[in-house]
Amino acid sequence: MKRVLVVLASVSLTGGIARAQPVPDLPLEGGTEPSQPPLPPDPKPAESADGDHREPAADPYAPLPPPKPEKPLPPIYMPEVLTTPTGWLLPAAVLYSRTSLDTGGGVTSDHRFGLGDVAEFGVATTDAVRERMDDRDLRATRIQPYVTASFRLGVSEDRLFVGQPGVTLGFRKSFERNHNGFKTRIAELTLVASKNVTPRFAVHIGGAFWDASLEGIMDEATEANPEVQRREVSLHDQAQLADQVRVFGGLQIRPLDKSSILVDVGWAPEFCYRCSIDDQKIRLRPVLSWGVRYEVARWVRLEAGVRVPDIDKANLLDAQIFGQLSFTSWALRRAVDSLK
Amino acid sequence: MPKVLAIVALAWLSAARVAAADGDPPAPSSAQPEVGRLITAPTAWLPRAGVVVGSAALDLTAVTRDSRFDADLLLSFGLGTIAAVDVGLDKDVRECGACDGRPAPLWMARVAFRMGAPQDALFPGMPAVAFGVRTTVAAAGDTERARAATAFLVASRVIGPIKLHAGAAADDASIGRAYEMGRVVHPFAGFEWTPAQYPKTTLMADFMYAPLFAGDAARTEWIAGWGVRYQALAWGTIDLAVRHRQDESASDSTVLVRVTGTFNAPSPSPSRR
Repeated sequence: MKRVLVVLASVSLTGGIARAQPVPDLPLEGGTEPSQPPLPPDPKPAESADGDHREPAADPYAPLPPPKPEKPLPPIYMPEVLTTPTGWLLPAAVLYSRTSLDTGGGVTSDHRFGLGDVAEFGVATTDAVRERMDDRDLRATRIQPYVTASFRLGVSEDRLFVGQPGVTLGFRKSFERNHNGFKTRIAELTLVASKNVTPRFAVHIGGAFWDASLEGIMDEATEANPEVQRREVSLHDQAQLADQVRVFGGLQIRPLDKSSILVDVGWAPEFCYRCSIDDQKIRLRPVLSWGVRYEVARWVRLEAGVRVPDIDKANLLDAQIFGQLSFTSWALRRAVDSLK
Repeated sequence: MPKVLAIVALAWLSAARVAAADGDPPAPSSAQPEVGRLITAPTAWLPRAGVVVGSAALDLTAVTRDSRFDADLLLSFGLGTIAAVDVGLDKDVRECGACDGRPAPLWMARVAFRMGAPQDALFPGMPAVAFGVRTTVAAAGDTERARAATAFLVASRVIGPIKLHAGAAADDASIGRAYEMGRVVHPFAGFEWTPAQYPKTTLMADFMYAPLFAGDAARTEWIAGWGVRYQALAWGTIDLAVRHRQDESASDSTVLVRVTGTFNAPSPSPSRR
């Protein structure tokens, strides 16, 4: 048995030593001299028998040219402060996605992409639109989800002249929403300007032209009018032009490199289905929001804050605390650039 | 049985942390802490970005009296060093039907958003300042539709071994759509003292208001607390405190044991997408 072990150990050791030897040079034709280094290629192009110049054959093993250095990515300015639009657009082919959750049970999402540095298209759900049943119903509840599509176009800051604010003209329109037997729709045309006054302070101000419609059985049967019918009221029929226009705005302060304080005031429609006066059926309510945006990484931002849906009443119980996560991606832009 | 297990677990955890604290350097008393609550009252301290502060408490009402204990659980997420979001469960708010006995605690799931600036941020000597809103997500008790909301402004300052907190809070409460209490504004205050001889130990006291649902209405009642916070670990503290409430005798006072930990959340990759 010991002999077997000794033999195995010897074989293993010998094999190991043999494998450790360098690989011998392959014998060359005509002798055993070491191989010569290859000659440099002839710089002159090859000439054919009839005197034509021929291009040298491409070397398939030539090293690839170094990749072009990537352009530094410009900063992405957010298309919304907290609830109101800004005068900034997403860069071309940049994708944006935001998901929000609040203490009122609202879940919303917003998805956009930039078009050619001059426009932006998006689809979103909002929980800002609220409803009341009648005059006695003092607390409005939200209608959600309320799906909207938006298109914005504009010019970025300093594009036309130095000091020019970013300006966007946007249109947002909802799909028809059927809730509690009533059909509602909203539409909003906005013009907004945004300016980075200093690297750490930005101002947003704009105007919105609102319209909304409500359709359903809005009247209660009475002796004089025993048969009630569905009918439609709209903001543009009920209100004066000035009642459809609202000013909104926001402030953005960046005390730390990755943290910004945001405050904005916007407007949201409120429907009252069976309010006695038609003028009261569709109203615009001011919404105050404040919060903080924290840039966790270049592609993800975390926002949290407080939203007070009807600041006229300043009702603490209506205040909603929200948290939202937004992502931006240059992936599509890079893919497009790689095709050029 | 679960109550006993919970108390045993808390006691074991406390003892283990105290034991493990030996040799740990005490937290510098002059540095701004990150725990956003004293006993009941909020402070202006905000967690740094990416820091999570978690606390769990047993309010031993009466392990001594009627075999009931209160508890709370709170997680605070630091947002950009200038804000925090608090998510938690607590029984600070109470309810009573005819109010001829001791009110029962009301479980409330609440969320708060606090925003502010650390001390000395704008000028030397400036106290830390925070403005916060706290709302109710859900309640569990006889008054399930009860909601409470608070907006508060608080200033905190470290002055040597002493930390002072003072502020004002506006409380509101409702029961469904039938009743709203209306805003009630109250001051609140807090005090901490860390003796030089015991750098890991802090004596603390605070005074705060909370809603009390009485039948179909609500009012506010004050809560006064005092106790000791022990910096058991660099990242963890243990509080032992006593809380007294308005219109209650000393024998109704509750004893609170709270464990608090501060953790750094992992940050995502900064790479571009």
